[in-house]
Amino acid sequence: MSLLTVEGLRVHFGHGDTQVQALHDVDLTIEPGEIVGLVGESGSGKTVTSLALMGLLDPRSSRIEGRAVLDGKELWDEKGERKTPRHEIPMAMVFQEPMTALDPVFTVGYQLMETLKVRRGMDKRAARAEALSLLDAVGISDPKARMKAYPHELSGGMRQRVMIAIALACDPKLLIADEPTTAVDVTIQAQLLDLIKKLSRERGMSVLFVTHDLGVVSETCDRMITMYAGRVVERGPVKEVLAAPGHPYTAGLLAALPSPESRGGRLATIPGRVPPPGDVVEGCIFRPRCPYAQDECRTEQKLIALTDTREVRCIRSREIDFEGVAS
Amino acid sequence: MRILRVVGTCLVAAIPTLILATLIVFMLQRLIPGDPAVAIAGEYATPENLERIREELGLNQPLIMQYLTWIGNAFTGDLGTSFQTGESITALVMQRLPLTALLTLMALLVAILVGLPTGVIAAQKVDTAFDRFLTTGATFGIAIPNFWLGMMLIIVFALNLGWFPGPGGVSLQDDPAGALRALVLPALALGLVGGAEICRQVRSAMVESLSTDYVRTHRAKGLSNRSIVWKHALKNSSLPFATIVGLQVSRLIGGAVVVEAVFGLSGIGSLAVEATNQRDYGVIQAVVFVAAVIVLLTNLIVDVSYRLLDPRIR
Ligand SMILES: Nc1ncnc2c1ncn2[C@@H]1O[C@H](COP(=O)(O)OP(=O)(O)O)[C@@H](O)[C@H]1O
Ligand code: SF4
Ligand SMILES: [Mg+2]
Repeated sequence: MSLLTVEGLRVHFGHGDTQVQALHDVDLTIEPGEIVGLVGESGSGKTVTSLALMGLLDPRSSRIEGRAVLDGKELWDEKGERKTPRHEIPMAMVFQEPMTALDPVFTVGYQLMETLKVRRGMDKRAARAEALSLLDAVGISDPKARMKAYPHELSGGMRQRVMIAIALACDPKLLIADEPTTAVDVTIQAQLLDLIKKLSRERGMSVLFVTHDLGVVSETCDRMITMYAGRVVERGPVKEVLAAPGHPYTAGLLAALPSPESRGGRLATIPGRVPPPGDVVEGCIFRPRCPYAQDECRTEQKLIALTDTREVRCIRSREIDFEGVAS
Repeated sequence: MRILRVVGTCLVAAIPTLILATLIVFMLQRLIPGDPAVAIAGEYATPENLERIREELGLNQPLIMQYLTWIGNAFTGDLGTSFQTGESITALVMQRLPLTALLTLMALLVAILVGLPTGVIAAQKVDTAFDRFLTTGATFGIAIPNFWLGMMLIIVFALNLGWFPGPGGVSLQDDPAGALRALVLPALALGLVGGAEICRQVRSAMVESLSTDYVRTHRAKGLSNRSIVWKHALKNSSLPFATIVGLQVSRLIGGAVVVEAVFGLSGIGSLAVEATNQRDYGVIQAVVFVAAVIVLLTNLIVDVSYRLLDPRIR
């Protein structure tokens, strides 16, 4: 049985006439221990998907539809209201911005220990011991001293490690990592990726790895899901998809990837931008930017199975050979 | 021992302000029209008489010497003698100060007890009817003059309902319990407006804190809403809170003059009024000096609490 099953996830923002739909029937599954990449340019709906699953969208300005089951627990009911208290759901999230995601006026130790108390019902002594071992597990040297540090006393990479430790304190079966390495430099990025892979392997923890960087996906993930304008446009095993993308958008992202030879040179980019929620596009959502668009693309596209393991939202997928990368 | 270091730093930082403030208080007396010697000896005093008084008061010395003498005396507890009664001004102040101190403290308590919870609750219900009701109320509340509110409270709660004693006849020394009761209405008159102001500040600070990324992290962790609001968001809002409470103290001391007059309380505010009527320069100067020291002390406390509450401030 899958660890996470999401069916027909829709998110609307706003009310009445100004209401817009940010997610359109997103389906996804994550198996135990699997690392799934969620990719797409900025504005594709990756963060909205993550926040919806975490129950972190503001109910005053958003509405959730669809069904999501994690580890046998329904995340919300038909009205989109939380069904299981958050601290009973084995899911945690690491955010993009390590500089602001930690509380500036409480120590690292305090923030870790309070998580352990809420999530695992530990008393102060047990929480302290576990907090030290978590800091050690995320590769922070001298955990005793770091417990007393305030976030502003740590570097960006260190703070992100602390964020990961806090997430681990929730004892998650699913970790959602929303562009956790975007705000740190390249060496730190590589270390954090290794850390997340290692933790996933050691703990059998599944990861939904959100990124706009296909390079990171190819290094880190087992399967990938490409999102565009609030829709899943392609999914499949990372190796297969990157070797031969099935959707022009995935292919475009791949072409925009800096290869070792072209590093420092200008990147090929996909002209245009992601249509924001509320923009009306007739037929295939990617058509205005698609170099392969034809008349037949004027109808709305459904996800179609390409192979047993691959799905793609493009009617011309079988006719066109998109350029992939060997890995 | 962080606290000792912090207090030390703040004390040192307060010294220039202290010098400036006392200089202003000192110069104030020189700027008030009229000659103190004439005020003491009367319009028809002989020149020799005036000269003798000036010498006694040290008025013929250079200004800087006068200032140093005065400040030295003031900080060792000697505020001089009243021109009018010949009494020790220190004794006069000490007799009146406790009532005002108690009134101001009670008013501050009222302001915080009213302003803090309402502000926090309003911040959680941004843009609901409750929030609008509260913010509108606070806006009107800030505009209410102390004396009017005082009179309304007297009319309703003292004269009509009889729950509290009417104006006058309060002595902290003779009847502490009665005085405490008699101070309830004045404290309300003085503190409610401050409560409205604290409410507005706390609300906007809390709205900001509650929309931050770290609050989202706390929610993701599964902390209860109560812990997020009353522990994390509140502590992160404590700088604006400390600031507004500090400002309230100076406002309350100023307002005490009016409220003491309305309620017939013989505190330091009414002492200032009496002294002004009688042109008792020494007493006026002493009252202003005491007020200035209290305000400076408040600022010192606010400053220290900043550094203790926010680890980012060194
Ligand atoms: N609270 C919100 N209200 C309205 N629109 C939103 C809100 N949050 C996100 N959006 C919109 O939804 C779209 C997807 O955003 P997001 O999920 O953040 O993209 P990304 O893939 O870069 O993480 C964007 O166009 C964004 O402007
Ligand atoms: S359906 Fe047509 S427009 Fe859409 S991605 Fe495929 S080729 Fe491009
Ligand atoms: Mg995002």
